[in-house]
Amino acid sequence: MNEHSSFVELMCARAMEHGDQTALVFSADPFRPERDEILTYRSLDQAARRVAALLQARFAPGDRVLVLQPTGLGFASSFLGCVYAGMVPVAAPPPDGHRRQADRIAAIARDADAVAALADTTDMEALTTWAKEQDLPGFALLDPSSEQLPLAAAWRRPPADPDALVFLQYTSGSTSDPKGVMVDHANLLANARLLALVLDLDSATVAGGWLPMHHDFGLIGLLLTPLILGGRSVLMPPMAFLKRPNAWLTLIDRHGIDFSPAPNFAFELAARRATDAEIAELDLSRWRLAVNGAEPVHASTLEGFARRFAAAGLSPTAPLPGYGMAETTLVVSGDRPGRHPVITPVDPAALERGELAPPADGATARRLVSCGPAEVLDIIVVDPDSGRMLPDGRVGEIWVRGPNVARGYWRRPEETALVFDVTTADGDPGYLRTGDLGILHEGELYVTGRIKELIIVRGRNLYPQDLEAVTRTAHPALERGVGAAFSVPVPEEEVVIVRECRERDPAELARVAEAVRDRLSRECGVNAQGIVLVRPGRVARTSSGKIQRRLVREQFLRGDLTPVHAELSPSVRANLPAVKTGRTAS
Amino acid sequence: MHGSELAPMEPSLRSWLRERVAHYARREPADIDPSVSLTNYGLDSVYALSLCGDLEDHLGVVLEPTVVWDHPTIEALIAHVEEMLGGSSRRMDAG
Repeated sequence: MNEHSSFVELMCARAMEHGDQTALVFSADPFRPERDEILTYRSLDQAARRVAALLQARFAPGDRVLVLQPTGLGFASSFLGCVYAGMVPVAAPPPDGHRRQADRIAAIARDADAVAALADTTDMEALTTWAKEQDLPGFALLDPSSEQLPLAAAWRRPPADPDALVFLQYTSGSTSDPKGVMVDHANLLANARLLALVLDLDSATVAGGWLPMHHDFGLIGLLLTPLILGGRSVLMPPMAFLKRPNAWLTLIDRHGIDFSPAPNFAFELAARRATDAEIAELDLSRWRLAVNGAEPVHASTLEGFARRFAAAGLSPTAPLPGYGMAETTLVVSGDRPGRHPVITPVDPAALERGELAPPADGATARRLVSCGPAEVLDIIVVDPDSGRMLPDGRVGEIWVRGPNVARGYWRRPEETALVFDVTTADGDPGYLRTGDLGILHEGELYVTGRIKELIIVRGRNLYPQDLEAVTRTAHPALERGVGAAFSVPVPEEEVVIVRECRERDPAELARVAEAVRDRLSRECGVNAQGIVLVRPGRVARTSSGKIQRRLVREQFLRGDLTPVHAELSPSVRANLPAVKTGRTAS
Repeated sequence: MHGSELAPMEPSLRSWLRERVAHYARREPADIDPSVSLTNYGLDSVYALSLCGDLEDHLGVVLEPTVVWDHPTIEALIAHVEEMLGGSSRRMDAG
């Protein structure tokens, strides 16, 4: 694939070389194989050319186009069609009837300055209303499945430019302020090469799973990388997995998938929900790469999953921790295939001081999971304040350099300079600041936490500002005052809301807490088990009024908050004994 | 779907739902109050969808993915399912 300088050239060459091979399978219901739909490399190429010709007749090269279709052959044809047209696709979630999603899609459309959206027939009506409500004049809605598409011959091939943008990836930024990562053709092809190197992928690879296409892990890991390598991609709807986790495992079994990644929570969920009878029906012996990434990886999940599905023939070395982000197109590091995960028990108190030390005898250890050797990209750990490289075994910010590090954030030159092009104190330039904390130890990369205040729960990136804004609307007693949202590992990340509240009546305080939990659950799909109500002025802020979330979180963990009302989950109570649970303020 | 399964549906569906919720919430079924919002038991969006899938399999019907959001207690879920299946439990007895 090195001989091709653009994704389009490469895909056209694949269609010439092995057009009859299956490129893509969409399984709407893995339990009903007769409903599977297939595209060969040739038919995918033809479909992409026709969508491209449609777009070229209406829009200019470089224009941004939202792709709002759900996972399926239509999504793939549209997404590739935008790239074939020389335009810049932006995958975003289809509307789900919730306000928050509608606002997010509109914020992305505005930030990307998109000219159009490609969507499914079933969503057109809702999107027409949405475009009116969101005041997006001139924004076109196209349904490729019902449009009279031009012939593939009408397509004009754009110049092959490795530096041209291939897509914008919106996984960063809060709902109100989304940030688009600019990925160019060279980044995408380099990322595929690096992922292939880390995981031993090639044209025989069958990748597949349920990860959503508007997330980098799904789009690049499941769809684009196997196509670039000339392999096969097998997709199913995310909802089918969430309703029946066994559908995912059935897909893997039935299609002989060897690479199926997912976030930690999915492995937990699948192991927890599988029955012995289901496991007896499964053959997972060909699943070589059960890559666990996109949220913190737990040692107990890796081990529990391997144990639970050993009876289905799953190799004990299949679970592989990995680490990556949209800012590096996808990949930073991954464990070596065929190796047991490297799990290092450390002293939690030392880790909080920023040092890696073996646990004291008899003390509770924190088990750090290696996200693989730091060998395919330049990875260093630095003191985020001074920019000095730190020695082996010290916690600092993870900085990364390599050909798959993206071009920056769309139309944000200042932030791009601060994040994508930093220089160490020793003058070593060109690094990406990941915002994640980690340790390099004996060549292995351990991710230990985050500098930025992003909350990652069940593979979703949540912004505290969003949760705090929704909290404000939950109850009249919360119209004034501020709050801090953060997460605590117990050991799965759980959301905690600390919120100022004027109310004094205990019964009413309980109702306020319930209203907050309910509102967050409905509007954000977030289960905030920890609701801590404090007196006005108790949430720490800087002199300029900025909420000090890390400080509030530390106060919470130390038991230094004096809540007027606190509701905590059993796991918080069990794992964080210092946290105050009672009503301590009078 | 079988009439014989539906006849005693209301009480059996209630206990079945309590058992499922208790399983996801890692509690005892006896601790699950059918009139209390499921978010109180720590069921987030992922388990809400799991429960939706379970219900579909149990009843042999197709439900909206948002069913647990729109009917957030066990009682509300039962009422919704009964209405969807075309009437009260008495009518189901007959059918």
